[in-house]
Amino acid sequence: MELIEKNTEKCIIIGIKGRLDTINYSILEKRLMELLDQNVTKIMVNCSQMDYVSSSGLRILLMALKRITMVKGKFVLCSLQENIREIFEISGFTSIFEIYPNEEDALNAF
Amino acid sequence: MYNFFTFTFAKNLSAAAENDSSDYRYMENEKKQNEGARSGMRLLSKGGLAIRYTRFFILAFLLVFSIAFYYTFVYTRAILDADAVQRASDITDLTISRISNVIKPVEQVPYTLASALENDKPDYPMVLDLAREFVLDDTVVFGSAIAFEPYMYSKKLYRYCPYAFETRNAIIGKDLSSPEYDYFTKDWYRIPKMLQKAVWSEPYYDKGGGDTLMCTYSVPFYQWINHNRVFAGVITMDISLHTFQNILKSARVSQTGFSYLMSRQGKLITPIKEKYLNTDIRKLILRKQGRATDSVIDKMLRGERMFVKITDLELVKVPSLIYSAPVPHTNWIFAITFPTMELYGGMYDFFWKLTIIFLVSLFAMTIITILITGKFTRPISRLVEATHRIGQGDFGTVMPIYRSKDEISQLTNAFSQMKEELVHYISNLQEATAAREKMEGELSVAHDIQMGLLPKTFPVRDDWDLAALLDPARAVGGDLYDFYFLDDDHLFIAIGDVSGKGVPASLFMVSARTLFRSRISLREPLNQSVYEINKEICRENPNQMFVTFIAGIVDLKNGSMTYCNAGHNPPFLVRPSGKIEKMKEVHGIPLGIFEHTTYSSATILFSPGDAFLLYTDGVTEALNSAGDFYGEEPMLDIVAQNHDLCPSELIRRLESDVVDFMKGVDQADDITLLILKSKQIPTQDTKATEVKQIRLQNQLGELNRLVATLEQVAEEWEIPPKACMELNLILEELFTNVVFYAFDDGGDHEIVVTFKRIVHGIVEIILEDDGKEFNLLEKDTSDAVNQTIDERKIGGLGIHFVKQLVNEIRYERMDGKNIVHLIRNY
Repeated sequence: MELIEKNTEKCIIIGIKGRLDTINYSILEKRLMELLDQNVTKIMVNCSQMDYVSSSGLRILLMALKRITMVKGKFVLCSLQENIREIFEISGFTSIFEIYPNEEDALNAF
Repeated sequence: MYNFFTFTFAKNLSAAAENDSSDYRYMENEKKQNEGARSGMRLLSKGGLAIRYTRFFILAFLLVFSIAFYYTFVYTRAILDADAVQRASDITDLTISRISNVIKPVEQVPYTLASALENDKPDYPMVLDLAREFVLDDTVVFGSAIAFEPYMYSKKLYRYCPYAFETRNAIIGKDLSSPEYDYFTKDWYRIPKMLQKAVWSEPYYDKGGGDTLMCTYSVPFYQWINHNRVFAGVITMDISLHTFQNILKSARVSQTGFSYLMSRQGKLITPIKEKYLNTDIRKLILRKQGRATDSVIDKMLRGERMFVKITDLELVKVPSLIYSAPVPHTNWIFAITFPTMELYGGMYDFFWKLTIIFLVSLFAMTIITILITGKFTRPISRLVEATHRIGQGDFGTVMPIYRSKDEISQLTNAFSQMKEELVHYISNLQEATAAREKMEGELSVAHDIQMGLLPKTFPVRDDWDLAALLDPARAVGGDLYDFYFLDDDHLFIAIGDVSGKGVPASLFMVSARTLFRSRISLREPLNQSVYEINKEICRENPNQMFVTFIAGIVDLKNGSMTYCNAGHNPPFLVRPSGKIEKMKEVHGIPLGIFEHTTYSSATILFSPGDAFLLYTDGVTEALNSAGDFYGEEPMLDIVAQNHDLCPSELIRRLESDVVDFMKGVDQADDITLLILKSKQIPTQDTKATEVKQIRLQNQLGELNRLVATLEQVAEEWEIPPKACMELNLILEELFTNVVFYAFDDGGDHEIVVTFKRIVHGIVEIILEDDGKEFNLLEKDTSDAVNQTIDERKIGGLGIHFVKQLVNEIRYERMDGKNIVHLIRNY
């Protein structure tokens, strides 16, 4: 898995490339915690290149969402692949996360 | 009355129903009606009221009259008896006193003579003269003798007995003593001597003496010799018994009655006929009922005054009454006899005439009674006629008017009222029938709609064939079957049986059908869909109905079928050899009972020629007239014998067998059958099952090897990327779960993952670990989805994914190992 970070005026965009699973979720966890500790409150996760996610990965996204919501920040997802979207639906996450079809729409939300 | 009711009711019913049996009913009614008409005629005929009452009246009259008649008869006879006794008694007393008047002087004279002879020197010639004079004077005395003891009259004479007797106004004297006539031995001499007192002899015929029938009164006389009173002889007075005949002749009670005298020994002194003279009366008893008469005669001869009825005395010949009394001074019995007939003759005559009068009046009475009762029952006959006309359906019939206020008028009123109520009732019935017809019409439409919901024909295909039947017990039913294509390669089949029958069950069935039609999809595992359908049904089920249900999704390409049995009868898998396998597995309780219940599923694989048989209990629990169930065996026999037939033909055979079984009994429950048969499986791989296995350490890093193996398998077995990704997710969740939680000891353990390709499109994955027991199926993950962000816990999601993403999941604990079987279609 590879993380591609991009700073914009509105938010920090984190692109996930590859598989997000039990073995490597700690990379994402570590980076998100660092950003949160730096009081970053506006984060977008671009999933366009994320091929796979397991419950461990989802757990990290959920944790980040909870923490940012607590400090009244904003945490959104965008560009989910079709298979991944189904996983989100099965888990019920589609009703919890703000999910946008593409980065542009997501930026407009900030 | 009863006939009349049934007739009217049945006629109108049949008219309203206008069914085939109406002709039959009508004929039956004609019969009843004729019977009724005849019963009307019968009022005056043999069994009619008039005759019956008359008969009863005459019988009662006859009984009462007979009792009165009998009493009068007995009473009259008693009066006549008393009268007869009185008359007989009077005549007897009179006769006896007349006899006494005759006898008294006869008894006096010898005493006077005897006392005259008791002197020292008796003057015998003077005494003889006195006796002779007496005989001459007295009309009764026939003769008189003085019989001396031997040598008492003279020392020279041994025996001497001068005797004077009367013949035609001349007195003849002679000496009776002679060696031939030894008077010492005669009763008239011997008995007074012995008894030392005067006695009357029995009547006797004095041969050599008076030569006539006589009684002799003998008085002993004595002489004083040397101051001793010595028996000297006997003075006798002979009475001719003819003397009394004249007295007795006038002593009669009735025309042929007569009287007579008897001695104490019973000898007839003055009989009515000469031949009975001196005969013992007891010899004249006709030996019929002898003993009673004997005792009566004995009493009579003892001298009792009595009145008896005698029927068997030769003397009188006919039943007679006898009054008897003793004659004083003498030892005679006077008896007066008269025939009963003569005494009662007048009375019998009276009663005979009375009887004739009675019979004539009885006849008159009968005629009058018949006429009167006929008059009373005529209104009933009219009423009968009127009711018959009503019975024929003529409700315009006017009831006969009857003005009096008796029971007949009440009956007429009651009939009129009944007629009105019948008219009312029939109009109600017509309305009800019309309403029912409407209802039946609506039900028939409902039936058509329900039948219309069922798919009828399965497209003709080379690979699969399907046929189904639903035969509702009523217009609409609670059974259902369904089949339709989910996509080109997937067929959905279902069968169900709603609790209860009729309209409610059919509505429930339709709502259940709508639910699964909208829910079942290839995007969701079948058991999950069933779970949701159950929840939906439970949510709105006020009547607590439920449905047993089997749903199956068939992959037409690879011949696999995932099915879920929710409390329904186990289906059967019929192999081409005719072997039948019962699929006993049940994957949950019937739908609609309990909201929080989960469902599992099973996957089976069709081989070419296999048939899957679904049915409802309307088949196995069909009842015959003896109350026996059809059962499973006959159904399976037919299936086994005809397994090579096409589904539609096999269903026809099954249906006709069940219908034959139920012959004569109404169908109790809906009959539903569905048969799916595979003719050939296009893509089914006939190669042996492929297996791939990997052994992993209980370290997270091993996940990479697991994923690599999965990707390799997916490539070889042509598992599409989406299915592959989902299998990846399933395996990761299960593997990390084991690594994190199964082992507390920190030691090394092995986790074995086996991939099996059952056929193309179905893969089975088996995970084995020797960690602590953990059945993931028991873990409740139902909360994992629908919570808000605050409620959401970080764990539990993985097992939820697993359950959602497989077609079938099974857990077992064996030899200290957790074994999880997963089946996944792709």
